[in-house]
Parts: sequence; C-alpha cells; structure tokens
Amino acid sequence: MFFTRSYSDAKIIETLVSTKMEEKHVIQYLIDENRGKIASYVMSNGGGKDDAESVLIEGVTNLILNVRNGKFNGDSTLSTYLYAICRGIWLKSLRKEKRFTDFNVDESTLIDDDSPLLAVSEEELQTEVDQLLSKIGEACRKVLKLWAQQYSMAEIANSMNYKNAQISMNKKNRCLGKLKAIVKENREYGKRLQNLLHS
Amino acid sequence: MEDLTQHIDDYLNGRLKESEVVEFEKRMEKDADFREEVAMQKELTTLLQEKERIALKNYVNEIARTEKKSTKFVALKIAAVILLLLLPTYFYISSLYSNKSLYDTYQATYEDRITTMGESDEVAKAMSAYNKGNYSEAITLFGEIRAQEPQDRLIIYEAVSYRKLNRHKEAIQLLKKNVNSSESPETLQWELVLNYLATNQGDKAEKELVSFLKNNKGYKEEKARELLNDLQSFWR
Repeated sequence: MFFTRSYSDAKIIETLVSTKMEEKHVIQYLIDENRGKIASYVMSNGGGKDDAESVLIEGVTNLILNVRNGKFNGDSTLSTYLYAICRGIWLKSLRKEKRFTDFNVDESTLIDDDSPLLAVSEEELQTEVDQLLSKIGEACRKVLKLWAQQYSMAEIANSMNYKNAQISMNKKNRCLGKLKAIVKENREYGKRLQNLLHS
Repeated sequence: MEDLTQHIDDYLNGRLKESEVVEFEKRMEKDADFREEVAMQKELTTLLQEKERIALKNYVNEIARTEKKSTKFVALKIAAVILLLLLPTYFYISSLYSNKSLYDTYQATYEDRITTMGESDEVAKAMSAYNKGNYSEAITLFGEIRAQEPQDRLIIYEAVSYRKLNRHKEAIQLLKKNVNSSESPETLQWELVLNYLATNQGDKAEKELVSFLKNNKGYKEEKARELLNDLQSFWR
C-alpha cells in the first residue's frame, strides 16, 4: 500500500505470459490493488475476512492461468476480470456449502471456476503426480510443467530454446504420450490416479 | 501417437470444428480403446494442471502473506517516524501547560493597598519591607504584628512574602488556616492556587480554582477561568 510501484494491465499481462520475467511484484500489485474490493464483496455476502483472503488468492491464481492460456481476452480491465472470477469462486463455495442466499446474481457476469474437485488433499495429489513425473526425463518434466502452467507453445519454445512452437507441441505430445504409456502398463497405478479426483 | 495425443488435446480444449467433434464422439462411442485413451488423457491433463495450479496458488498465498506483513511493517515504520517527529512538538506544547509554566505565567505580587491608609508604625514598616522586596524582614514584622493582634487584611501580604521566598509550605499553611474566616477569602484562595502550582500540585490548584469560581464573581475571575482552561487542557 505504501510506496508500491504501480503497473499497467499491459505490463502485468506481458509479465505473466513470459517465463523469463519476474512476476512476484506484479502479483503483489494485483493482490494489493484488489484486496479491499474483494473483501468488501465477500464480507457483504455472508463471508468473513479469511474467506475473502482465500477467494482473493484463488482468484489471482485463476487470473494468472487465464491470462496465460488466452481465456482472458482483454475485453475488460484485469481488476474487473478478477472481480468476476472472485464472485464466481465465492458463489460456487456458497452453493457447495448450501449457504447460497437469494441475493440477485447475474450469472453472465461471472467467470467459471473450473478447477476440479479433489478426492484427496492438495499435498497428496502433488506427491502422486510428482511420483508419476519422476518416471520420465528432465526435459519432458519441464515441458509438461510449463504446459500445465498454461504457457503458450511459443513461450515454451522460448524457455526451452526450441526453434518454434510446433517443436514445443510435438515435445509436449510425446511426453504426455509417455505418461499415458506408463499408466497403461500399470493398471493399478492408473486406478490410483483415478481416485485422486472426484468423478 | 503424437498426432492422436494432439487430436485428443484439441477435443478436450474445444479447438475442433463442429464436424470434427461429431466424428470424434462417434469414434468414442464405437471404439472402447479410443474412449479409454481419451479418458486417460483427460485425467492426466487434469492432474498435471491441478498440480501446477496448487503450486501457483501456494506461491500467490506466500506473496499475499509477505505483502501483508511488509505493509504492516512499513505502516509501523511510518507511524514510528511520525511519532518521533511529533514527540518534541508534544513535549514543547505540553511544557507550556505544566504547573511550573502556568505558575510563571500567573504569579504576581499582591500590590500594597494599605500604606496610603495612614497606618501604625509597625504596619507601615512591614509594608515598606514588603514593597521593597525584603520579604524575610516583612515576614518577621508581619509575624510580630500577628502575635500581638491578628489582622485579616495583612495575611495576604505575609503569604505572598512566603511564596516569594519559595516557602510554599508555610504559605499554604497560613492561607488554609485563614481562608474560611477571612473577609476577602477570594484573595487568599487565589494565592493558595498559585502556591499549589508552584509546588506542582495541579490537581489541588484545579480543585481550588473550581471552588474559587463558584464563590467569587469579579476578583481575577477572567484570569481564573483562563487558568482553569489551561489546567484542563488536552496537552497536559
């Protein structure tokens, strides 16, 4: 709040889609700029301070991913977009807890929170997936990681020093194919992975 | 294999044309192996993406926490600097309202209202010493007169003489002993207030002033109100 540098939306986007630019400060800026607005929305719709902070963090996370994968198309400011994401997250959470009150919601103004429902803890999921990834080579792990972080194929090529985006895509498909082959070979392992998510 | 993986990826991410989607879904209906391949890829993709989403969320959370902490820290630092800048000002202003400073502002000798009245030699001598600022001599002379025949009108001059010599305890004693029986208690009460201030007894001075203002209209009323305001000031 005090003496924080301000960033334009264009600068924030440029930083978030790049694998080589330091993003900590722009994330910090996004949090700082929007905390009050999100807190005010959540707290005036049945939530507490901690709920508001969780929604903000979840919202900023989704915003970063949507900027990288192109779901954010620049029709609104990042702040407005983040607000819509956070509203979606909070309403989803109210519905899940069946606390959904009857305040008016224009669903068209919400951004879907499409994160899956986990059947296990976040730590457990990370451990299982790490274990699976340990069965493939370092370069493959890197490419799949960047792809899962929603970076574009061109940016992955930039980060991995490939000639172009097509090479990134081929590499990603080959690595994903390797993972599929590993899971196919070991049916038990496949079932274990299946159990990490709610169907 | 790479093409198939990419084709499934395009389907899962809505990048196929409508006709391609129809064809893709037809194949899924007919071909169990293909269906299984799609399901497995969808699951793997979801797991990989979810793992990275969780990692990113933890990173954002970490930034949010340090940001909050540093904001608090910066706010504290600013508050400390402001306080450091304000403290000398506060001490300066509050010093203006200290008992000592107020005493210095309001203290004065009580002017001689007796000598012109054609007094006896003893009283004239005592008043002469008083007027010359020879307070020790004045106290001795006032004491001698009081021992022979106490005179209410001389108490104030004796008390002022004690005060001028910083013998406040004796001044207070003398004033308290005589204030209730005096014909002009307001002069003695005001003098009492000054002695309380001089001995850093602000609370007693304030109490005495309140009673002074209640019982007295006229004598030093305006000054008394000013002094009471100062004694009740925010800065004290």
